Amino acid sequence: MRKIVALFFQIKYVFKWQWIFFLPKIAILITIVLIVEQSNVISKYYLYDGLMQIPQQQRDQVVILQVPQRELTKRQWTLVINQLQKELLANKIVFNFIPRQATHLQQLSPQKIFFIAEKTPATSNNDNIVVLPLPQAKNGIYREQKITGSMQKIIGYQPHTDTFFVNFHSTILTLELKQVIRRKLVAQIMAGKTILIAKANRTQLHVPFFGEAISLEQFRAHLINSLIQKSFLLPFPWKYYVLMLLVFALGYLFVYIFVMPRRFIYASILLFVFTNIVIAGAFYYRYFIPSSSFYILLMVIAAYIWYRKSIVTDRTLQQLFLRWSDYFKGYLIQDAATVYDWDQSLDFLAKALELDKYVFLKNTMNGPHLQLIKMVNCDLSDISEKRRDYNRFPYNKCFFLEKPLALEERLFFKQQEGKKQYLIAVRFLNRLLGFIACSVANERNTKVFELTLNSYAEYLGETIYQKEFADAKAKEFFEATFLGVTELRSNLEAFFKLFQSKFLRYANLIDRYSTPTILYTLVGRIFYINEQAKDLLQKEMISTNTTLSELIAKLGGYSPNQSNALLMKCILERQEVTIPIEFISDNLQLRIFPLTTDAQQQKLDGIVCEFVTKDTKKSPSDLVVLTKKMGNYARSELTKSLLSASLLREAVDSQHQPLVDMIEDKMLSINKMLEKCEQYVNLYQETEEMPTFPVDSIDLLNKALRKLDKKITEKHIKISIDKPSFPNYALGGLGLQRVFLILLLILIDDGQKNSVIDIKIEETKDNVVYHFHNEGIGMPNDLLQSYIMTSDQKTPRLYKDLKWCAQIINSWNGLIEGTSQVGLGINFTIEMHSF
Amino acid sequence: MNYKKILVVDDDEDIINLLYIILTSKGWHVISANTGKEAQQLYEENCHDIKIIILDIQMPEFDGFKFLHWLRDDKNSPTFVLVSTGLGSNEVDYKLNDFKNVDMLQKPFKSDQLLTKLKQWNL
Repeated sequence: MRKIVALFFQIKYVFKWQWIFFLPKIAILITIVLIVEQSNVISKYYLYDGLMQIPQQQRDQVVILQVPQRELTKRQWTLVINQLQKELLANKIVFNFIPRQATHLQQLSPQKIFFIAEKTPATSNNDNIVVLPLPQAKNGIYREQKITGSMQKIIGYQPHTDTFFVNFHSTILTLELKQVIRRKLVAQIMAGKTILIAKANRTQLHVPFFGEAISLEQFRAHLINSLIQKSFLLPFPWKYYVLMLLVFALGYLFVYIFVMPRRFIYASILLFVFTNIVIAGAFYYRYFIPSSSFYILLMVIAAYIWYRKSIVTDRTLQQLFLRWSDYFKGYLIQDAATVYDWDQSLDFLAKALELDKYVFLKNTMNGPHLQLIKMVNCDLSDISEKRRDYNRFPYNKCFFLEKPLALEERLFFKQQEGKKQYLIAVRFLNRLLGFIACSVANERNTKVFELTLNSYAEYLGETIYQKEFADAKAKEFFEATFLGVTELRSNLEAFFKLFQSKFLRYANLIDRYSTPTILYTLVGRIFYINEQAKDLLQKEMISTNTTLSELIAKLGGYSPNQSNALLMKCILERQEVTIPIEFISDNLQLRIFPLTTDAQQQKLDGIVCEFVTKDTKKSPSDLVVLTKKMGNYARSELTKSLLSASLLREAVDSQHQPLVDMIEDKMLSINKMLEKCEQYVNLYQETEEMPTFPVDSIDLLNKALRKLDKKITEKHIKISIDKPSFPNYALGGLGLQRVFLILLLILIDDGQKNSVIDIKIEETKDNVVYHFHNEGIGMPNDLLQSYIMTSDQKTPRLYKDLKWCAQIINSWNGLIEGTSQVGLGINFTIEMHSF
Repeated sequence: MNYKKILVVDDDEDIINLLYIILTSKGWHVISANTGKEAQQLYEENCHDIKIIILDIQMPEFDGFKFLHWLRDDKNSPTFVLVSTGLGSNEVDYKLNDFKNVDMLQKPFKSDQLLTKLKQWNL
């Protein structure tokens, strides 16, 4: 639409007579106004006629007696009047014209005979002349009649209105004079009725909406009948009408905007019903409200609200998603995060897992049938399992197993020496997408292989699902394009795909690296790249489409096979691989390690590549191992010295005892220094290595509790956990598990038998808070604080690690607090940033 | 004198010698092993007499934990074990949680600390 408008304005400036382009707009506007106006008129009278058709109980009170055009004589009129009144028992006789013998006829029955005139005669003293002007046609339709005071003579009462709407839905009988003269009528036809005597008139008045035009006498007969029967309707005073329209407009807006802003359809139905009730109520009191204007008003306001809502919603969503997608686009390599050639993924799988043979069977989604669509290192003659029905063994067993099924009873491939065979279901969001059958060398570590295969099956499941999702939605894009919401739709889809891909969690993780870091998917495609790495690749003109295997080969100068071998080590053995980089800088190394987000570091989520300088290459683990070895050695030596000192003490006299004391003290102070050194190195390792991935902290807590199961059972302690129902991701990894373990050990040790340890996990917007409380002996609060702050020789063994806990939590920008009171137990609170 | 038999397992010969002198003087009958495997053999031979085992955790090949598992799981023996280690206390503590009748003696230790630990079992 915008394009059309833009084009319109472009054309406008090309031509000289710009104003010409406004003419169609004006014409359209006029047409709309006319259509609305006519719709209002048509629907108004249609409704009026509809309302008038409601069956009425009363009989019609007027009969038309048609007389010839020629004037009747006095005698003839006298005869007719007498017959009408005396024999046919007519109530009143109304002449639709003023005959020459009017004065005479009036004298025959002054209270019963009347004459209708268009206007008051200039010279007449006849009191029975009733002035009834021809009504003004409105939109070509006659129905509104002005009433005069003299009408009271005919209808017998004074109406409280000047104007009223004639009711045409009565059956007015028209008789001819000769039928009266020849006495062919029975009294029942005219008894008690008003007889309208009229000459045949050619004037045709258009009355009911879909009815035929009627003559003037018929119009008047309906008019008199409406008045006598009081079946006419009163027009609603226009001032009140305008006021009502205004009130209704405000009411409609109020309901749509404030009362039911999110239930447009229900609000419309409610307002329609309410409007009808008001109109029906007015009709009950014989007021005719041009109800169609209310319906039109309702439709206009509904359309306006709908339009405004659409505009605002569209604009808000556009802004929101554009902002989000812009944000993501800066970081994300779109293709890698969502859909790409999964066939390539299957190839990678074979290489990465060193599969001997493997096939991929795809769910056809048409009954329980599988289709063999990929074979690697094998052909049909190698496959012994020919069945493709996933309701049957081994597929069904594999599906419910939810992990790789080691095929033993019924092999998929023909028997091979020294090979194991597996079948694994490929699924995503509980939807079966296919199966992978593979054979692998016997000597492989079964547990790690099964876990890795499982990770790959999950990853492939997600990839295939995304691809199918994209294919299925492609058709709907036509409609989206037609409606002009393509951009919004594509942004929305990208947005949700990103969430489905757990993008945010990983992005947050990689952004924490200060070094250039890239996260690769399990099939070696870039999933997320931080700014530093993006700059680095750009500088070295390396495409972001480069796979991990290609990157290793290119940067390390390896052959594809060597590159794959390095990857396998990383994937299958969960080992970190560091390679020197040839191209970028002599001082850089590429550190490749598996990304795992479970506490055991077994479930593989991706592969991280970090560019580190040789000087700053992190090796805290090596340092820890070295310190540990040194510490162990030194303590053994110190033990020997102390034990020797003990023996020396027995051998020397009392004078030399202080010398032995001094030797012991020196040994112990060396040990103290050693402890400090170890604490520092451990802390360095925890801060540098552990917080590399967020893990489910609730899972860590459960694992810590399981480790302490025996102690808990021994003391008959009950653990009460109040935790959120969904996983909570926090930094820390095994370090956090160790913190939990230390705190729980303290609480269990301090706790009384048969007591309860309460653990409460609360989540705030950015943080997760863990509360621990026991029913224990407790201690003076100052003492606990000193254990948290310092750790020395006097600190009880159990509390020695509290200081370490505080340091490690602080290093993750978290907070740990402990309080205690003698007799009431100990409380610990940890607050950490959550993901 | 009623000698109580104690098995000292440590890969450091000096420590074994020192403990031998100290414990023998306190009335213990000390037998020793340099490796876990050797300790297994000695235990098999003296299982009814050994009252306590002083066990070093860090040993090449067959370490103290392996021996402990063998003792508890395979031999189902309730013999008291005093684990001596030069490693950080918490590292060993958690692993020892699952074993009964096991106490820990953090290296470096003095002879009186050792004797106090032995006394607490009241053997």
